[in-house]
Amino acid sequence: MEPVILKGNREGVVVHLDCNLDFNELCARIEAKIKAADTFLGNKTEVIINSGSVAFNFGQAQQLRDLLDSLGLGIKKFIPEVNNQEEVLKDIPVPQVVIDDTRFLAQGPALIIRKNLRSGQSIFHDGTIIILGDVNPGAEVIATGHILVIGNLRGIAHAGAKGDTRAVVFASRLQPTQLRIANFITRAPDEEVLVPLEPEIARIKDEMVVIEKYMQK
Amino acid sequence: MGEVVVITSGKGGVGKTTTTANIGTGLAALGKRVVLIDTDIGLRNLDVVMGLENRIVYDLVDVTQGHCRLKQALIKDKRFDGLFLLPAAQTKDKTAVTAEDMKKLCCTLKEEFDFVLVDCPAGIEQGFKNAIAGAEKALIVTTPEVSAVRDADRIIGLLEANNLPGPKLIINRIRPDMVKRGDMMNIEDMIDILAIDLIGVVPEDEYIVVSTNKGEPAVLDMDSRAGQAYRNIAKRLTGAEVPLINLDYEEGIVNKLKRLLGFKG
Repeated sequence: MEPVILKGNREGVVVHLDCNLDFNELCARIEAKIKAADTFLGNKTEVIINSGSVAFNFGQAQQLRDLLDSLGLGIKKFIPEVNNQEEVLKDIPVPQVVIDDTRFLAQGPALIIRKNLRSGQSIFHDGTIIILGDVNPGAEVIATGHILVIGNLRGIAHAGAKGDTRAVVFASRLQPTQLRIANFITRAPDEEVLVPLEPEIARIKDEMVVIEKYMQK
Repeated sequence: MGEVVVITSGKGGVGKTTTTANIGTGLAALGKRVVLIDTDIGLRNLDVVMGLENRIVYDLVDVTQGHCRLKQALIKDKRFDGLFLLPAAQTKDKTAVTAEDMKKLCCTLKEEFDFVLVDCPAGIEQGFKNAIAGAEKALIVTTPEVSAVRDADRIIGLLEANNLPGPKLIINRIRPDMVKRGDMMNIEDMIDILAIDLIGVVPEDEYIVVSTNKGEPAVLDMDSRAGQAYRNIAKRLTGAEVPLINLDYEEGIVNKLKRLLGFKG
């Protein structure tokens, strides 16, 4: 097969390329072909580059643009599209993920619930549960992963129900009847307690369930 | 060997749970070993009234279905060492327990406790059948209202049909001033209709609301008149002879002052 074929269709002029050739060799062939077809292609024509099953990368695409530009042509589009991904990744430094905070290493798919859970209602999910609403006293939420409540948590929450001590319980207003993480159980104190005014998060630290303000000042 | 007492009423909201909590606590205060069983599965309240809600890990259904041992589900009261609660499940319904389960459970518990008090749900369906299954004695709670008395009568009939004769009556929330004016059924009227023995009369008392909300049974408050009535019922259950409290001494500060100043006999 001819490594460079020019064809016209409804969209315009298509340059079919055989990408089995070395890229530099291919560029030389393109130059030769276009110069030979000088009269066939008008000035400033925008062509379509079809490279078959192989996608050019960002650098190669740029090189082709420069080449055609020097020959008085433009490139309308690439088929298949230019693979920009690796180039983008090269340009932008990969953020260093700091793994000292395992709080939101979600396990399993998350279940999102958009309602209030009332007394007697019980939710179990193998993964993380996110509740956009309140959990009232007498209701229970059991997850093998984390439990995140965007609302008041007043009922029973059991995170890491299969024994995962990394699991956490987060709530905008954390005032549960009982809090369980993995095999640890805590309960609300018997005295009157102040209603928390900001989001709190409960997790296991040194074999104990601790509750901390979520927003650290 | 203790005895199993079911506290029932038929009608809802007459004070079964409050009565169970108070009599149970009253008996424990007398040094008895007591266990309270909440059989109102799906609508449990006894744990809240006792202030023990946050301690529940296992419940009645877990016990009968063998998910835990009976000892694990018994919650020790915060005030008395000899008082325990077996809470109902909240996320199940009445059919999760059978009458046979309850019979076995009550038999096991009465080996260890002096009193097993069973708090019965309202109604006469499965929950009621479960609650009375293991019982040897029954306390009927009623209020001085025609509807409550009607339901109590129905319950007494059902208890007789289930071989639980000789229930005792507790009249709850009576208001002596209204009875005196003839606006409320009096004790004699009710006993006349129901024809069973009276074991106590509990006057209406605002403090009950406070104590229920706090999770501290009124029976422990020496100033509460309802508390006094419950203490007496507890004593009567142990076999002591205690006269009914005088319901007539209720008077406001204004009346008291008037009397002191000699305006009123």
